[in-house]
Amino acid sequence: MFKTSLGKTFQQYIIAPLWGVILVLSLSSCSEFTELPAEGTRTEQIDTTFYGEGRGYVFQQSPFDANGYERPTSAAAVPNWDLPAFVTLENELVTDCNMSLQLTTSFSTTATSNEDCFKILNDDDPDTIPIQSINAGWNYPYETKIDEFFQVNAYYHSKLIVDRFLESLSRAHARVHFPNFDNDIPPVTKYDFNNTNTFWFTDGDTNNIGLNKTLTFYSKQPLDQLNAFFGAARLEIGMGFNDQNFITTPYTMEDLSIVYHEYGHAFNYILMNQRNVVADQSFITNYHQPLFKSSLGKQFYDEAGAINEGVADWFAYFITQRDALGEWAFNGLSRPMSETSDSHSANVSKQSGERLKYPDFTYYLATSDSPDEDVHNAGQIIAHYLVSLTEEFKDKCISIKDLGTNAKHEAATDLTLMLLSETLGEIGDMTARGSDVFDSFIQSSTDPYLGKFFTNLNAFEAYLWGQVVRPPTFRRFAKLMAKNIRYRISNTFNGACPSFTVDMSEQLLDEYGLLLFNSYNEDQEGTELSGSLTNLTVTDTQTSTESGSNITPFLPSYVAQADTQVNNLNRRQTVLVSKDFIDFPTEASGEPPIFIFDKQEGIRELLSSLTFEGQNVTISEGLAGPEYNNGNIKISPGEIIGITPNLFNFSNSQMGGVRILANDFDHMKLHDSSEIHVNSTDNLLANEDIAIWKPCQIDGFPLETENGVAETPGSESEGDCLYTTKHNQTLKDTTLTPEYYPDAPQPVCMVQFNDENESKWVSQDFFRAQELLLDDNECLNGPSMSGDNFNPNECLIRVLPGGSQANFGKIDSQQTWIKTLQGDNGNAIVSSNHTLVMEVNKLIRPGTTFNCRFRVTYSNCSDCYEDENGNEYPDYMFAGPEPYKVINFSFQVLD
Amino acid sequence: MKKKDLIALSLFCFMLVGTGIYFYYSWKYAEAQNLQSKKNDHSQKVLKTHSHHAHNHAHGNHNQQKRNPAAITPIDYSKYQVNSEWKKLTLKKIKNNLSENYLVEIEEVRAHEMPKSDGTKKLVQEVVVNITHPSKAKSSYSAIIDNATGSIIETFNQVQYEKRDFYAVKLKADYNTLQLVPLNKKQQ
Repeated sequence: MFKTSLGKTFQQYIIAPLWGVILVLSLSSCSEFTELPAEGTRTEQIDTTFYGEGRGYVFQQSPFDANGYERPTSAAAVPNWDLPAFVTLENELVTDCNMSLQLTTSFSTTATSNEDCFKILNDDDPDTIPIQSINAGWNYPYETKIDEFFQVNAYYHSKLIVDRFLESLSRAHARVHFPNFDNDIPPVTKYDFNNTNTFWFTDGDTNNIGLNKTLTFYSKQPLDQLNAFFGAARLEIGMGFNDQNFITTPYTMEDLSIVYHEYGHAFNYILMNQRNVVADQSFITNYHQPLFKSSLGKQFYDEAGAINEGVADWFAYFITQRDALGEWAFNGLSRPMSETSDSHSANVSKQSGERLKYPDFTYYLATSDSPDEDVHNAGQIIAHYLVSLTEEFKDKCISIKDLGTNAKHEAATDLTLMLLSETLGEIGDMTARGSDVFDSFIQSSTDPYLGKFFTNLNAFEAYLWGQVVRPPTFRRFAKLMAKNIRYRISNTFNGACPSFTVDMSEQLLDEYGLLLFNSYNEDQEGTELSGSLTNLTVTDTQTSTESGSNITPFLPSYVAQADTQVNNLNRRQTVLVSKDFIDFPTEASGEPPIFIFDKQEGIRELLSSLTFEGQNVTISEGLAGPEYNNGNIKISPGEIIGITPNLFNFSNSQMGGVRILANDFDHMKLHDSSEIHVNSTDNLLANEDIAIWKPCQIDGFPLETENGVAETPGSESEGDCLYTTKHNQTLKDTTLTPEYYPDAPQPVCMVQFNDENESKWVSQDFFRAQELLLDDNECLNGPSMSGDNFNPNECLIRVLPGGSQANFGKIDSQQTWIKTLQGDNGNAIVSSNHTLVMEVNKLIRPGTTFNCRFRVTYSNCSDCYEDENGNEYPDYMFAGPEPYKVINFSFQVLD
Repeated sequence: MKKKDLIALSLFCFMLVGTGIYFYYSWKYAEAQNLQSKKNDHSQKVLKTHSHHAHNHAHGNHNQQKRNPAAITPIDYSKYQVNSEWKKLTLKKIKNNLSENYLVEIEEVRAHEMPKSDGTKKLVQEVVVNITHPSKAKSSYSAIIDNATGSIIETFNQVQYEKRDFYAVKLKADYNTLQLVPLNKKQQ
């Protein structure tokens, strides 16, 4: 009875409720751990692999590396290629990111992104959805769920390199903001990463600004060829997939060195734009609001793009510790980063004079005998320099050299990243201040640098200066790296590694042909919009007014430094060449001075290519267009023309990074300073004030009898030919009728006008009004297109903005550029970056003659960047002709 | 023990084991989460929003108050000449340069009052231009557009492909005619 009764009681009061509890708990457990497969369909079985562990199958090395640096037949053929490892406990492959941020010498905080740092998707198809964890694990094996497997690995390796980048950036920040003594050079990096969010991509929507933005990583992006990309506008990294056209694997994702390289592009973009933020500073007046972002590389080929590739290669080394990349995905095209790499075909070594020197190796591709102009090839010089620099830190720095292998690599790469951060941050600065120390939101009314700009001319012209006029060249990059090494590495008091001396730094740069400058230019000249100038000669100390302006206190002070010069004894490999040695080839050489491109289909293809690439080549529809191109190799009315100058190097040394600029510059003089109005319809009411521009003489052309303006040096004032605009602004538009600034930059082409048996060179505006009687709206880029930016001095011939510069990797001594690129096999491929693009107004009368002034410069030019005393030209000087070799391209418009 | 009680006891043992298994996995999961929480010992995310998935973030120490997003002062459009057709005009200008087998779309990002050196401002639109190449590869870049005319003031943020041959124009310098001749892409 008892037993029965107990049994009943047991069943009634214990077992039944327990079953209930277990049922409820089981259901809740199921709901928490129920598998949600990638495709969103429910499976019958519950997968308990990696149950609750957040782990998945991860490969730590590319198949090539994992196979002992020998090529396996496939990833699957490598034993234990992928093994379980912790991935994430998130439900999806997405994460925010954090970095330690030092705020005082003894206090630090954690900066956290206010949006996800990155997320992983298979591809950019709008229907693609993120995969989800399976019972808090990531059981996606390579053999059965390969796409998901690569997404899991994309997350794992993204997290790995992003965490390491932020850790290193955190240390860089602490070093430049908390030196032992006051700053000898101002820090570029912002003081407060947390509130400015500058450690990651930033932007925002129409209601919020200054928020972090999420990078989307595609692990299997279908592409026409095996490829990879970083896109800054949409913040994407795409690892290409192509199952038809591949060598070793259809998945670029299998090669981790390429993954890290792509992240290198993303990091370069972050570092370039760390000052270009519109953070929440609403309680601070004058906080900068740059409209543009900077990029490393604007054209199909330019040195900025080469720097981008070189630094991105270094970021692969940053993680892999290896001196080559790409062996697996692009087998046979692996790219070395050290002279000791087996991938080299050239006779290079670490011995003096045998390194991968600039500009000799600009066209070097280890797997080819022919010159190959490509940003990756030229970028090898930068990568080799950066890897060598890092290795020097490992060998020389007292605090590093005795560490274990991994710790040593970490400490040395931290120093290199600090240098990159400060260098790229200054180059890409669209606020044009160079440091918050000089920014107007910080300055008090007594600040010695109030209103001055110290990089990229000024806030209005910073994009033009930073990307076109003074873009990131090997010279600019090397010079800023050297300055930062001098003060942040080699300095006895503040340096991170004084045993790596300034001489060592100069000698290393020189071995790579990169000691391209004479002055460290500490005493650089800042400009003001009003035209006044100030050198960095005054120590700027924190004042009570300034304290707290940088969101939180402890604004760094700055101690002025005198200009120091490079030790010329250290320049043994680097060769500098005067600009006098570049020009069109002589007639006697038999070399053509210029090549013309005017075939209709070819021009359409060129415009398509440039537009796809992102160049602004908008044409004046109705007045010019490819439909007028007749392919007769003459410049005819209405045509769009491509021009490739075939410049000749008359020196006995190579010239590297040759650039031809056809953008507006200060080379014309207002005939009468009271003539200030732009010749638009509105201004006809004030016809006596309409501006007439005359060409300033450059190298004696045009003669005074041909309307050229000659001036004697000595008493230049605003408006004179020998006075260069300090701000590069063209139009004042405070009034209804726009006025020119007296030194307004003007388009490069002028026109020949025959007046009473005299030939004169006049502005296009003068010619169209006097000779052609054209209305404003019959001008190229007329008011209906250009609005208040209308400039009638490009009424007839107009260089398209996106075709206004040409870049050539190098020109051999005593050779033309075409012959340099041809090499021994006689083939030279001309690309869009070699071609200036101009449009010709269909209303020009055949027989009209034009002269266009192109400005030429190159990176190892001895007198393009410094005056005769070795002092660096201030930024504004590049608005005029002085730092350049000006070449004249004359042509007649013919049917 | 009767057969009935034996069954009840077995059931009890089974439930006990089941309960144990449940609590073991719950504990293991909590431990794993706790471990990850320690890794992510970050400040509270004031602004982050996830509609598409649930996060289980631990809220660590708050060393510093994270700022709120800044609100842009609304633009007074009445001060500017605005062409309501600006986007169509821009699209037309871009398409004009591309053959028919390219696809183009323009995404509006936001309007800006672009400061000018004389202290005045100009109303401009920031957009992202997305172009699909005939090979299906995509290019996207940012552009600043003049609101009054739809003309492109500047482009930036270009995409960087590792291999660029697919969109490159390749020309050969012809010494006989002094012209540039398009290379046949199939022969490259």
